[in-house]
Amino acid sequence: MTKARDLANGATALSAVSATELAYLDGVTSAVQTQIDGKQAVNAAVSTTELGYLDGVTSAIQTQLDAKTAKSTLTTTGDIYYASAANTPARLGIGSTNQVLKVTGGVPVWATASSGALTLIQRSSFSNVAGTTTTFDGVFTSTYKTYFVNIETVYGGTGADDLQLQLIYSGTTQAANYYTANFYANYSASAMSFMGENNTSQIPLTSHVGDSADGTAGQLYFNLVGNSSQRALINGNFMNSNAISQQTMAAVAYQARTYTGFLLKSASSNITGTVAVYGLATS
Amino acid sequence: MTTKQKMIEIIKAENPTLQIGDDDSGYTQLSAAEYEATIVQWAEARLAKEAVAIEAETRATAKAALLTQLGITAEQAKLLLS
Repeated sequence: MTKARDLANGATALSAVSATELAYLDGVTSAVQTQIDGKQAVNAAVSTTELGYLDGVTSAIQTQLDAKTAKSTLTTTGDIYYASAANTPARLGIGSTNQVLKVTGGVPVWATASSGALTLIQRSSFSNVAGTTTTFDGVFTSTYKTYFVNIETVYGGTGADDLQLQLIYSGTTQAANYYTANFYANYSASAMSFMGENNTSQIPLTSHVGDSADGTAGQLYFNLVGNSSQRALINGNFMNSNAISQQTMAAVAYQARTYTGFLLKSASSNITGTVAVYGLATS
Repeated sequence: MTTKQKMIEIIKAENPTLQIGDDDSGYTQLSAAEYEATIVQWAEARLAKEAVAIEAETRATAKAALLTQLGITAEQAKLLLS
């Protein structure tokens, strides 16, 4: 048939075209090359899926990209974006450990966190010691005007012993010139007892330190310590579960010194306890 | 009343050694001289407390004897003094 058609058309050059191939022309209504030229060239590097990403684009893509903030604005781990002015993204570098974000001049800045009204300076536990000696030396400095000492618990080897305090300065224990007023009452008392202590070698905090079953808790305030050579003022309250007692004391270390700390001891036995020292902020 | 030497022996028996320090920095045993000085201080403190207790007891006994001698109770004595 091919030969016949070739012969019929007198076109021997078409002998390489099969009938099937010729049949592809069926339905063609205009010049094939013209139609091909009218089509978009396919870029082999762009897939159909990628072309599909353009679906929904409503304006110039480059213009939209230019309006975005560059990731390269953030150069360091922890950096954050903020607006330094309207429509002006800027970088805020990460702050230091424990800093907090606050606002200064209308923009965010990293700043040292406020420590609050009370700052824990030291909390220490001790067991069966003849005294706390240097454990609480160095807690009074010029950083604060007032120090709060929370005696969370303390007890002695002899429950009926006195709990005593001495101040420390320049590595030396102040062992004279204490004056103390002490008021005491227990649950069964009908009146308070008063104990005045003049020019003693230590400050009596409570007359019943208690034992391991019935310890003592108390709070002390220190003023005029740590800043300059002054007569230290100490006042506080103590309670004991054995005597179910309340004791209030106020004392002065009459010898002016720059006191840097204190020690606790019992009058005649070991003591065990936990004590925390705090500084009170002035602003 | 206990003698000072006897009180020292009692306290030494209670405390064959003494230490200072805390949980964070560790504990150190007192030297022999520091140990002896501390024991003496403690003995003196206990003796002073013992003396106060004995005095209070003596005073209470004397009061009771006086009330008996007067033939009145403690409450009646308080009433007289009020």
